[in-house]
Amino acid sequence: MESNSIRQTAADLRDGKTTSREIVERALQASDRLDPLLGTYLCRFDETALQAAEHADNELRSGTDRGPLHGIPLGIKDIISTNEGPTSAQSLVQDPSWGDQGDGPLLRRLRDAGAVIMGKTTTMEYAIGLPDFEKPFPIPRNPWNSERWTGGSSSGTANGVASGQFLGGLGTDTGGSVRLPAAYCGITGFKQTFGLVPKSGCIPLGLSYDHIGPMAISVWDCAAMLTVMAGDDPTDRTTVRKPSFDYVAGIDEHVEFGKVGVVTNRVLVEASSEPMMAVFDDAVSDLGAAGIDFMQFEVPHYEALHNGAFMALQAEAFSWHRHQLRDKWSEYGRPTRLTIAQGALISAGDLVKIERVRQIARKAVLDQMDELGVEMLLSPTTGYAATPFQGADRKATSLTAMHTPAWNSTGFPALSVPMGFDQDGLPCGLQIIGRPFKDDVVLRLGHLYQQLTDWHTRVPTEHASSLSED
Amino acid sequence: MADIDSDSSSDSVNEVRALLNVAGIEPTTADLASLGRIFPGLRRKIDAMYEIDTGDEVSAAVFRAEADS
Repeated sequence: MESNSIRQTAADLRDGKTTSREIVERALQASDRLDPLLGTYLCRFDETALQAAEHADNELRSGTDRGPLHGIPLGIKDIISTNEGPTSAQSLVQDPSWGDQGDGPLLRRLRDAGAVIMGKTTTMEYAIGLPDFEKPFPIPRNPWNSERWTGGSSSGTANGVASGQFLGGLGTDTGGSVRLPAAYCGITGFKQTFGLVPKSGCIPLGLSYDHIGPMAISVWDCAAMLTVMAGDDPTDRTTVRKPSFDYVAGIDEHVEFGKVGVVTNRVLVEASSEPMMAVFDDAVSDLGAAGIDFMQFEVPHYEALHNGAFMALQAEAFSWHRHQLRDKWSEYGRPTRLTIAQGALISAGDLVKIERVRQIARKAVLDQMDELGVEMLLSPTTGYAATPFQGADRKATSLTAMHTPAWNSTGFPALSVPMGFDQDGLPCGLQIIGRPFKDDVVLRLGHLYQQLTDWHTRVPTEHASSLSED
Repeated sequence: MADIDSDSSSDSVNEVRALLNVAGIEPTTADLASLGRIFPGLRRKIDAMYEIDTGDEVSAAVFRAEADS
């Protein structure tokens, strides 16, 4: 089984091989060494984490078992408020008192499931900027090559999981910000169906495109987190009332999958490097050998879904930041303020048109999937592996991020799993996209892929620790 | 062509300045110039949306994930 996985650690805890206290102490020791190198944390909660770990151990000893997350250390992206506070959004602009609201519904659910909250992880400013060397914040670095970026914006959660500083964590995904750093850092990340998980307590970027998603070593681990995270909440009107669902139960059982479409849109192929496409072809072959039936699939209105996501999220972000931009323009990082300000250049009529296109494009994708009998879609998660800090300009970043935002427009579930390495030894991600609220089907296919391959078990040799028993 | 580009850029900068001023935002000169360069491309992407026939579909003031699922 995978080292540093929630699944393995949960088993070890119940077998008496370790305790939550020991796991958290090892995690803290790992962070003492790795955090200064990798820029994982904005704020650590060492004391409360150790207290929570001891509480988890006491409960397990007394027979109270809260499930797979019981006693498991998690990192939280620093645009999500927690009781321990503060919430900075990695910005000099953000009012620290915003975080005084404490835990939102998602943090409460994770704590109720016994999770140990280790601290707040690095991001890009307000989850939309770029690595900014001019600001007094850590620069998140890729554990596979520290001269490369982690991807964003859930950067610290991704490099913290990949380097063994915690076993799982929360990211947010408005245009790919869970999937992209998961792919760059060689871990698993899931953007579940829009509306499945409440977002209250999270600073919005584009509220109708935002998702809070799980990040961990494996699909099984993400499924265990999603089982706890999913469910409507009255404080988030975008959540959808659905019966509770155990995404882990039955994940190991054999199921017959329907056809899977390989996305062939030229704009995506042209935005992908040859090494990335070679790794992707191998992944498709691996799944084909396991009996998955593939067909080519041209996504209708792909560019409209992609461009619409960026433009609408800019407009939505501008509506949230308008007063702050007016009063504190120069305190924002330059990439952040230039991106958000573009929302002011989009008229109300434009936004209505973008949203109408979004609706008809979404329906066209579903209709085509119905017509062709396609259950899921596959593409690389990114066009290129982790970009170097030298040359990580906006153009390069947007080119490699062509593969993810469309699925924020549709709200469909989209999973990234490690699928191999490029010629520079950098991880590559496979994206599996499903129909709305068929999150369990997407997770099952991802889990099957991780039974066929061991890419998700690989760890960076230089910048990593082991939280599991040696 | 250079003159046309120059005029176009100047128009863009003026339009961006006006739109930001509506919100009371006064960007730096360098930022205004950057947004002026970005603006024509943004407009092209927006205008491309109007090329897509959306028929009589109602607008979505609130996105509903469960629709059509």
